[in-house]
Amino acid sequence: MVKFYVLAVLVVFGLVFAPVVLLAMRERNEYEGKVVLYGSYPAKVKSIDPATCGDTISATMQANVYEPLYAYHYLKRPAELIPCLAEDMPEVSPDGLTYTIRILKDVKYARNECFGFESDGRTPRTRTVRAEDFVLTIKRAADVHIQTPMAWTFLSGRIRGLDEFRERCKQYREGDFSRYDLPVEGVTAVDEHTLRLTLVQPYPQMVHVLAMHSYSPVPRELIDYHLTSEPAGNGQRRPIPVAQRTAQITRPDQTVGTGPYILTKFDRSGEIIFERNPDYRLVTYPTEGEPSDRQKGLLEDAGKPVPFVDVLRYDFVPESLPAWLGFLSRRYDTSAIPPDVFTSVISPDRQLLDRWRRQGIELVTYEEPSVFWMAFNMEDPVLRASRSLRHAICLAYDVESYIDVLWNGRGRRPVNILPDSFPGHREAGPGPYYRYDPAAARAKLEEARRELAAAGLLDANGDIPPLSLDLGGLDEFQRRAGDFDRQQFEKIGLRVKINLMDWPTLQQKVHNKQSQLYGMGWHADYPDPENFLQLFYGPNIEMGTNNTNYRNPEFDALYEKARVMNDSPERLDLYVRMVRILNEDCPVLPTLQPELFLLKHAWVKNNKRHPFGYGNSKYIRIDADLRRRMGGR
Amino acid sequence: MGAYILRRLIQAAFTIFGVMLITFLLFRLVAGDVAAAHLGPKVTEQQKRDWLHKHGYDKPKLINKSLWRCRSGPAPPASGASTAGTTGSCGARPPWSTVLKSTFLDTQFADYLWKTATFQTRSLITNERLIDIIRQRAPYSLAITVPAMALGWAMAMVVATIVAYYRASLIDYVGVFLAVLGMCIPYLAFIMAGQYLVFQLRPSMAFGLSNPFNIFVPVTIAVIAGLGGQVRFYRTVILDEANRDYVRTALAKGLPLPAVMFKHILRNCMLPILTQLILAIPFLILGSLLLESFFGIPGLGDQLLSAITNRDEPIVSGETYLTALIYTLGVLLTDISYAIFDPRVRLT
Repeated sequence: MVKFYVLAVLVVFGLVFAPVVLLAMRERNEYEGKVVLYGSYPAKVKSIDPATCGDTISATMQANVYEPLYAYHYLKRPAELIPCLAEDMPEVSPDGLTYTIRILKDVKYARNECFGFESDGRTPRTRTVRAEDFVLTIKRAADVHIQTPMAWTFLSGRIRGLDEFRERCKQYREGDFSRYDLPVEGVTAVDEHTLRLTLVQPYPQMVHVLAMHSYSPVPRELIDYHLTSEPAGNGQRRPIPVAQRTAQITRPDQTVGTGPYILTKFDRSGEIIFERNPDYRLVTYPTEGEPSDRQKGLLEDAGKPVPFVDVLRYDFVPESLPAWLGFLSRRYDTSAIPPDVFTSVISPDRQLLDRWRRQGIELVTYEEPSVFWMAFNMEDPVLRASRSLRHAICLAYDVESYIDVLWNGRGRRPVNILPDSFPGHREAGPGPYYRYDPAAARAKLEEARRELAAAGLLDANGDIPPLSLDLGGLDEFQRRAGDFDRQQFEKIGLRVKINLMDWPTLQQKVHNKQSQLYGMGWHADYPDPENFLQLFYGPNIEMGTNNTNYRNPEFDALYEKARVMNDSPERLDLYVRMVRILNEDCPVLPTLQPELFLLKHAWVKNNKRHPFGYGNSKYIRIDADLRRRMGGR
Repeated sequence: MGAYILRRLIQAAFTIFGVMLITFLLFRLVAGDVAAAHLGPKVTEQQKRDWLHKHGYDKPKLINKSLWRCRSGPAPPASGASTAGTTGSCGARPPWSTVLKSTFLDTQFADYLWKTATFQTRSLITNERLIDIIRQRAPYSLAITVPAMALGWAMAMVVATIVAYYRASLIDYVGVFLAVLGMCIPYLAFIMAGQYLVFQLRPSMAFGLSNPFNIFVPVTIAVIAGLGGQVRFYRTVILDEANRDYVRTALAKGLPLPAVMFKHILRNCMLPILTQLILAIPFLILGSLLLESFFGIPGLGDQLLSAITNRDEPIVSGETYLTALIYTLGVLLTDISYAIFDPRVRLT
């Protein structure tokens, strides 16, 4: 019996300490003498393939490795496009259909074994970026075998021959990459460093599209090496059978970009590490910005070569508490503010409280180019028949309280469908019904009752039929939002049923036009009002982008005129007229333009958030001495 | 004995098939725009259709009747050369073998069954193979759950033995009170308080695995959080055993209590305790959702939950299949070992 107890103790001891031994055998990352930025990220990184990128976290990570043709100036606001891998802005033909883009000649990819090895047999080679790499990039964006949610959305129906190429890809198996040899009429490499795009119809926003990281160059060698063969041990490789190949980049050794960093460790729900790319070309910190940037110290490094930081290290921290505690214990350089502690960190006038400032913590705020709204299904008989009912709901909804109560005041009331920073927002002015006025709402409700009575849509008791509001999400926030919404409707005597559902269910209901009212919104892809206005263009109902099912011939005619125009006062005037039409018709009730509050320690320099641009980690500087003095690592 | 094992194997196969069928029905019959969930709200309808086709979601779910009407309708003209598709027109009347094959095999369920059973499933979100995900993450999950189970079991046994030894004394009352108190405190509270405490004392140990010994923080929390329930269970088992006739006889014969406790009572308590432990083993691989999330352990803990919320159905079905397989296998082995040692089991 004694033997049993001794054995049990030994087994328990072994099981308890075995993980420590196994974990100690892992590869360790030491950065002695290097400047490291320590960050955290709250959601899994879905993609490290530029073609498949479709979420903010993935885009943020990818932008350290990949670079597109154009980028946004880091400091200037409103957002301004500048060349990145292109020599200059594109040369556009007078008919707006042909874009000729000259590419920088000295841009090298990060070293990778797909290019072969130097004479020492160990050091991977590199090569310069060529126009044909962008041709491949655009073909991959159109490849039906690759999940390209964002990349294809902006090219679908835009480039001559590209939709036909996508159809032809269906005849190939996923692992048969010979499809990339098919020609596409509208995408050609004129010479080694000149790319030409031929569009189906003018698309002035194309230059914004080319600033997205989804269209960063990918070398053909990567496809032919990493996606068609795999390591077989002893430095050898074995071919992957066509049936087993995947067309997507999924491993860190397959990420070959031109950016300032190389992805050296990638655990999509763990540790992600980027190290400085030694072959990165000379890029310098901007020398000009907004007037206040100099005062904020954002121009102290003007003209200096970037990146400043040697290593970017991010931990996956899905829970807000450990991320927050990690920031307070100076293990992370920056942090969001968890909603639970927001009021103990930020004062009512939205400033950082002194007790935090005294600890060397600084606040960075910026407005997201997004607008959230309550959408009205314009094909719903009741909502379509009575514009006054839509007006009444808009007037009765206390948006300011909604932002204060549910968002801790982290945002502003949008007064039309465009974010504040967009051209046309100020000129269009506030919508006459996008204000809180319960008395006016009740008056409008009487009008609505008359309109619905005329249409025979009142219920058996002569009342406005109960409404139905769908919210995407089953969490506590949506439950609270539902309660708040119910109060707003009941305030003026409207009955409403709140339905909480998961996001795919809401999407399907909206797609099938079964939702009456629903929570929705839009995050801008580029700083052009067209990006918001297309959501209300009648023919886009069939495309799925206009999900309010709003149709207005006058609006559609203005949109068709404006969408092919280059930036000009005339186009701005058309945009303003469209926004004013929406202000009157109210297909949506805008409820929030979110504002982001971030904290950083004093040793983090040059931190300015950009509403559209990614890839700005290269401008961040860490004062490592100050960090050590302040108790950081 | 052979017939018994065969019977149990057939039962196990049906059980696993049932689990897979239920998982399939739960996910495929539930409402929702799966393509939009994966592609995002900004894609076109054509992109959604392409996505559904690529992943086989445009096939009939359980039964494909597309070729039935080709058999039952009038014979087509001899020159008709077109092939029958899911919705296309009939060509030459297909033989029954083709119709039957298409009916059951050209369906979403057949694809699902084959890919899941052969572990060929890939994440709809990241395109990773499930088998790779498990290979990478399971060791981290096991690094928490195995020590937590072993240490928890050992500590619970020691504490339960002590309180049972001193039953109806102050030690027993205090022990039971603390055990009930521990059971009343939510698991999340243990985690948050524990992590806060470690952040105050030694921040570098409070998150991540930069130091292998950091693993002991979540393990300790798991042990403490689970101790109350285990102590209560083991104490009950020990006291049940302590009230048996053979214990009374042993004590009446003059054997000292420690000898009776450690030589007889604990030995006979092992059967229910070990059964409980063995049945818990299959779930160890799934890890601990909360501990992994809070302590930055890249295990499988949140894999299943995030796959469910993100509708990453191949991962859900693959993990469910794996768990069902291991669990059924564990139960099977336990039953077989019972049958070996207790012939009465074979007859039931």
